[in-house]
Amino acid sequence: MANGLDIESILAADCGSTMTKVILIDVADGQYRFVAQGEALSTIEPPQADVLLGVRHAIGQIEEATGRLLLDEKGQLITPEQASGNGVDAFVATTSAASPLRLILAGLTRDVSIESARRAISSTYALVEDTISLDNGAQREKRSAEARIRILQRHQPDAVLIVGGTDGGATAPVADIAEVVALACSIMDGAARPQIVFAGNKEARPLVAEILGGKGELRAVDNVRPALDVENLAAAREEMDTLYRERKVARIPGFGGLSAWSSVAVLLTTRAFGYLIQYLARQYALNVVGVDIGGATVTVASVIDGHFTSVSRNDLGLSHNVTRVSTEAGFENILRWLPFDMEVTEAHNIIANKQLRPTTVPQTRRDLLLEQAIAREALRLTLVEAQQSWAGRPSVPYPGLFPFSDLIVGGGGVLAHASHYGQAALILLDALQPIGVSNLALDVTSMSAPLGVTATIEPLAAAQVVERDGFLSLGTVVAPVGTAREGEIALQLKITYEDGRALEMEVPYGSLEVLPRAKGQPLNWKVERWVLSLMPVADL
Amino acid sequence: MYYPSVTQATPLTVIKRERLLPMRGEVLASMGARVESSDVVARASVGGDLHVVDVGKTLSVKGEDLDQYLLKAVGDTVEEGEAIAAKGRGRIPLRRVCRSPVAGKIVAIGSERVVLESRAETFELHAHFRGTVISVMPSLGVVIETVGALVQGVWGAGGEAQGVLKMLAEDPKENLEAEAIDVGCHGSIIVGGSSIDEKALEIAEQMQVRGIVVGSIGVDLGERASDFPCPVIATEGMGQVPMASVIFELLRSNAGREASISGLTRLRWGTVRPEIIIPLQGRGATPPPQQLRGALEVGAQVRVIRQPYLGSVGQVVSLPSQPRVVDSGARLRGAEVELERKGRVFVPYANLELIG
Repeated sequence: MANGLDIESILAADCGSTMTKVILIDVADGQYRFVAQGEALSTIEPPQADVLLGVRHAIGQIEEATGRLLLDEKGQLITPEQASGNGVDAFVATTSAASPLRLILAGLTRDVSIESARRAISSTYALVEDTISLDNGAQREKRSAEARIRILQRHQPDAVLIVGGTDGGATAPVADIAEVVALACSIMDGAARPQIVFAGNKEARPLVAEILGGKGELRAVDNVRPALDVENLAAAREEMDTLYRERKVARIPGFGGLSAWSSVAVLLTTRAFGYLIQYLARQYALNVVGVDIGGATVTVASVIDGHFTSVSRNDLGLSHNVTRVSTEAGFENILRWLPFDMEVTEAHNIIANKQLRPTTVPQTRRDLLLEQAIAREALRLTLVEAQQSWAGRPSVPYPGLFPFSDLIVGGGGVLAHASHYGQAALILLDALQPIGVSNLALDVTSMSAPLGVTATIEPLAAAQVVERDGFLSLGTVVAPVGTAREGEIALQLKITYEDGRALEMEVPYGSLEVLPRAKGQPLNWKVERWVLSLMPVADL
Repeated sequence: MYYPSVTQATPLTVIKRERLLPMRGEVLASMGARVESSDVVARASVGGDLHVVDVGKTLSVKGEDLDQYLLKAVGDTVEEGEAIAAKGRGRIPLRRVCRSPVAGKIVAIGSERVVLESRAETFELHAHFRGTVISVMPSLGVVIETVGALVQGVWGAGGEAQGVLKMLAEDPKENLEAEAIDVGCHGSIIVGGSSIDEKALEIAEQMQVRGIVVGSIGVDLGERASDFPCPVIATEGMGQVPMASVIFELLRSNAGREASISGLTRLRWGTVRPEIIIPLQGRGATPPPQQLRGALEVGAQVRVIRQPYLGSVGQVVSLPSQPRVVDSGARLRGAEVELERKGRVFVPYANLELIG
């Protein structure tokens, strides 16, 4: 093949709960480049019930745009790429289309072991249906044995994650929890029995195995709290991912066909998104925060001071989970972002209809700005959990505020399809409230996750596409931190462009000033060039 | 090419529905049987409350010793007050007995505890609509087929019901008013045009209607409608939206006929839409061959599923090759549609669905 590359052309698909997106990457002038994108409704629900159908529809759009044949007359992928230019060398895919893993968390204390369990599953597509603990947490409501068993029987979860105890500590309390789970399992149909994952006191493993006997399949992993002041989430997190792939992803209608096309295992979208954020942080030695506002999931993946974390809220989003955002955030918080009045009833109706018709897009300005307001709140809610994972890092000097981030990458339909890039920038600024100096980049073609999985078969392709076509620069934000009176001049600044022109400005406290980009500057976050001089006036 | 979602509003089609028990049970209907909507096609035993009896504590015994004191095993039925375990023999004074607090069945034994389930009730699965059993799934349920009209809704609440369709509006824009609901609606599935208010819901409940079909329902009434004792269906969504004309006319043309209504709605992971089935089997009607719905094409009948034209029905007149800027400022791909009473408008693909 040309340029000594084994794989020249790649189709990378992301099969979401609402939309399926496919990008085509190919070599041009010896470099991998983004060529085209197709987007179609996902087809996992009846009557189609075949994920591959939506992929074919999206590929069809790429065929229309490029004139290149990618599917044969039977709808099968043409691979490898042929001398005529038809077909591709590789196909890769990510998905977030499966239903979440439904979990019951069982542990000794809600504030310690169960909180660790929650953090362990924060990056998995999981929904916690309920928790069972010996201390009953802050509510102090004493749940009877019947009530605990009934919780398991009523929810019929996919898995029960049992945590509790420090390694080498007492085993009896963990045994109590295991006994409740065992009794509940024994009254369930064999097929309905949940997978039991034990991530507690490792000394208690034999006892837990004995109690559970044949009543449920047990997998034991490292304790999430081996000592009171030590948290170890990696093994539990890995196990939850494995379970999700086995119990949910593999059961997506048509997943077998998607897997058969794929050159490597189909990745979870959040994982692939995380890979890309990690790549950017490593390649350019930056603190990077990536946010993805999807229809059913909101993800914040970050590398801060070299530490990667990923938090997903699988119950928040702008389509399937949009009413959950309004319930949790409250209409008052959503409507505050609108530049016009809107009655709660009107907003409520629009939101309820969006949940009923998750694939629709705003056609009016009122609809659009309401959707963007919801996006701000969905992101803010997710950020609350992400902030816990950043606590104590050197780049987080102000607890509760955003970390110092060199690059913020925004993705998801609501950002990519904003009518002006300024709207996308404002959504990110309002929701994240970054501090210090950050570049804002927009994943305008929704290629973050597809590139993350592309990197697993051809790292050079992912690197070169990120470098040249990856993201659109929304600008650089400079956000000093400090206290002053509202409206008081807080900052004097001077920006000097590459051509020697300069602009001076005073910035009042609590305001947002927009400085123009130099004329002719490419919209690439890597080549911004200017000098900004700042002189704090207030206590910043 | 754009492949939109589809809503069925079909005057005559073949309708097949799986009728499944919530848990394993017994299927009563046989293959090929003709069933009426009220016929029981399967039944199952539904468990009652759980009761955990701490036998170890009552008898002061440890787990490994418990087996020798148990008088019952998993699966055994017990009466209230019946001994389930005892320590000591015969009539000796120190004999300790652990008794069942309820009548029921022992469902689990472990960790020195016995779990009892109070007496189970029988769940009966009805056919729901008149038709023919075309498949029997032992222990699980059946598939019933009929020929008739089918209308899918968007939002629904409540379970299933059957009744005669009764139109209470002359026009799709007309609300279902309380004044229109009288004693003649008793046992009927009443159909309004646009929306319904709380007063009309109250009167409908008093008149014991079997179901309500409207174009839309206000979000503030959603909870009230969900608690309504029979199914409620909105064909367009939430708010104040007139019923799509194609649906309104279809229901009007079947007024006076027996219909089966289901308010069951699941939006994801095995989508289930609320629906109205009007069996027409035996009326000599032959449905046209079913067509697979595919890409959006010029001439297709579509419904707009988002504001500003939510609920409007029209025909696709062109499919522009380039995206266009819509009122929101976004550039979107879409179709030109000739809407009833609104003329030719551009609608983003994502806001269109095929209907018919």
